[in-house]
Amino acid sequence: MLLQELSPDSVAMVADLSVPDEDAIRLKAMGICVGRQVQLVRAGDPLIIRVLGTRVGMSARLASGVVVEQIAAS
Amino acid sequence: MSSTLNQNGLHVLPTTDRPCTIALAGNPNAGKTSLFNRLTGLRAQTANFAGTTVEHRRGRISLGNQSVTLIDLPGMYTLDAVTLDEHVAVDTLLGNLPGAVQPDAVLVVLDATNLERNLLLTSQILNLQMPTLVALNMMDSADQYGLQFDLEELSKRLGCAVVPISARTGSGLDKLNTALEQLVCEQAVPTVHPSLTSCSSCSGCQYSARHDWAETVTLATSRGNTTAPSRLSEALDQVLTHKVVGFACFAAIMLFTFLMIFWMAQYPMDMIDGWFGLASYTVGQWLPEGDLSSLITDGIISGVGGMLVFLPQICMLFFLLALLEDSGYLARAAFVMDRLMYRVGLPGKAFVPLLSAHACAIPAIMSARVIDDRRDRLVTILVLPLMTCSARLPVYAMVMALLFPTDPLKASLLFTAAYVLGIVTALAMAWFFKKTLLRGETKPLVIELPNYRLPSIRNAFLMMIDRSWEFVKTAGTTIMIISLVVWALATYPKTAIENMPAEVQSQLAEFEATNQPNAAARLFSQVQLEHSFAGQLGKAVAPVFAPLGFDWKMSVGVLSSFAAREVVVSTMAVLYGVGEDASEAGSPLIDRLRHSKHLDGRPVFTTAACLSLLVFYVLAMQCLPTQVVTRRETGSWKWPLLQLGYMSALAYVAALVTYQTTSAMGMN
Repeated sequence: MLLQELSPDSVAMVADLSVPDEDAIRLKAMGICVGRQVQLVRAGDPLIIRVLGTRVGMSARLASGVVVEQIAAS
Repeated sequence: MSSTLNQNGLHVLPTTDRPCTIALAGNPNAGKTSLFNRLTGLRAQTANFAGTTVEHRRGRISLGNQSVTLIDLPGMYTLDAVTLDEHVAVDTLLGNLPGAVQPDAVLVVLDATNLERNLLLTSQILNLQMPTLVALNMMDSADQYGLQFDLEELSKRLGCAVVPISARTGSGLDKLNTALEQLVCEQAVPTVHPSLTSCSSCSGCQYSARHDWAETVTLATSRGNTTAPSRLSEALDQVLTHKVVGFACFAAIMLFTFLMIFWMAQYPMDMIDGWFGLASYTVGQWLPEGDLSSLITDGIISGVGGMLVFLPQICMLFFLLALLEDSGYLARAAFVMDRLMYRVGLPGKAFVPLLSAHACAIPAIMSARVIDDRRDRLVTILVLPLMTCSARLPVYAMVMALLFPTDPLKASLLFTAAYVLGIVTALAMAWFFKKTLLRGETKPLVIELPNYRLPSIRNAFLMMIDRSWEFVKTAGTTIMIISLVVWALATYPKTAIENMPAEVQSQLAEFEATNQPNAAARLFSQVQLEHSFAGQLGKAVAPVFAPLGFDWKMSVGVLSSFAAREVVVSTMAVLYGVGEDASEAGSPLIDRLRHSKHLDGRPVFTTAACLSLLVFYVLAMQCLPTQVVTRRETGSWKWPLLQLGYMSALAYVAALVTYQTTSAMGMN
């Protein structure tokens, strides 16, 4: 499933990034990287996720390139 | 070159005769700039990185008995640079910037309350194998939340010395200084953990491996609830990033900021205005009347004063923006505005410059540096001068006084309409540029929402001094030259009394006879200006402006304000023979303007002509200092010329349409 399809507060593991290279670097540097855990804090556009202990805001159109596997529902 | 003794009593020779340089590197929000300010204080200066428009601060500090240069690199999350700032930071660190030498050592600044995230960049820097020291910053917050660190273990895992500090309270700085001194002396290169050495070789998965390493190190070296520091911030963000409430809060915060800017700046502005008036008067008393006195009082003093009068607003703007940024709110504002701004093709970060431009376009253009993408940044810079800046206010006030001298409600409605016209046009033009000239996807938002913290007044103050000084340097020199040129055009050639038209001569004689020297002086300068180069130019271009409802005097005003729009009021005052005066209703200027007539007897300042003048001044690019700053920030004259071209065309067409439709509707 996609990152923005998660329900608020659910935790997921990043499975794949299909975004342009430059954006991929920005995401990976922020911790949104294959194998890492992320948690959706606020749904919508832009949305907020919790990753590596801080919150990161990102546009929904970027989140639609982040494939995740849900680990725990809210 | 002298040799020095290090702590172990060994002689250490500096390798070259240039001073040692240490680069400060770290994530944005890690408190790098606070630490830099702590270490260097007011001795720091702003400079461009060689061959770029990216700025940084550098400053000398003394470590033991040697002097070392500290360079504050732009904040970054990774060495795989994406933005211009990051590229320059990385190139500086690697010594790849032509004309600049590689720093001798790196001081990595880490946020202790956010260790795992900060360790990614650290791992990359460790791999560079430069002499490295790690400063574990924000220890005061970490203590407050009960976070504990095994510093010995952390130092072992990182392979370099780690010093716990708090840039905010100043604790640990002595130890940091000692450690820096040792680093410079011994040039110790970090011993890198094998898992990091191997992951620098593979490019595809290096982030995974590095994040794994960061996680392991964090788990092994720190204890405590790492989510504790962000609890308050998350609660605040429930409100401040909310789709509706968050937007309302944003509007309220911005409104408050601008009220503060305009309200607090008003007193120093009046003072500065007074000083320059006094200076002009005093110098005028000392110097014998003539060209020199006129050059100094009308040219230099009033020109420079006209610029410096905006300085308090600019200082306040930078100060408040620095506080907002330091508090962590600006990241939320970019977040809240992102979706709205995306509609016109701009990123959320563009709103700060767009708002700042309501005080002055120059600091706004400078603050457009926060925009990552080059095209997005150029578009923002191009449309910024359309926002109603303070320099337009005297012109607006003059038109309002002409149109609605006794109706404050209508006047304020029209005032608001002028602001709205500027904003709407700017957004529409941004959309247009993104569709045509600077086509491209708007960079999607990815922004860290750092924990809120109490902003540092000291940092904001230093930032304010720095940016304002930059404004004075750039705008000041240009304004000085412009003022001189405008003064010369309006002063020469001189017309002797005997060459003036007969009726003027007789009128002058009559004023003298009835002992009205002021009236005589006013008439004299009015005729002087009419026959000067500026007056002749105005008459020559008058046909161009006639379809907009402007007479030749207004044309001179428009021409003179291409350098700086606010001078139009004083130019008109001279042209209409009332002397320099304020634009309040009932003032002699407004009175004179209201009764002025075209040659055929029609009144000049009809409702249609006033509206046309207003529209023209809302949209026209009439500020050379802004153009100079645009040139500096974009690195090419192409962009300021485009700015001038499109805005002038827009202003002309819009004023033409306004005048023709309103006069057709019979609004005379």
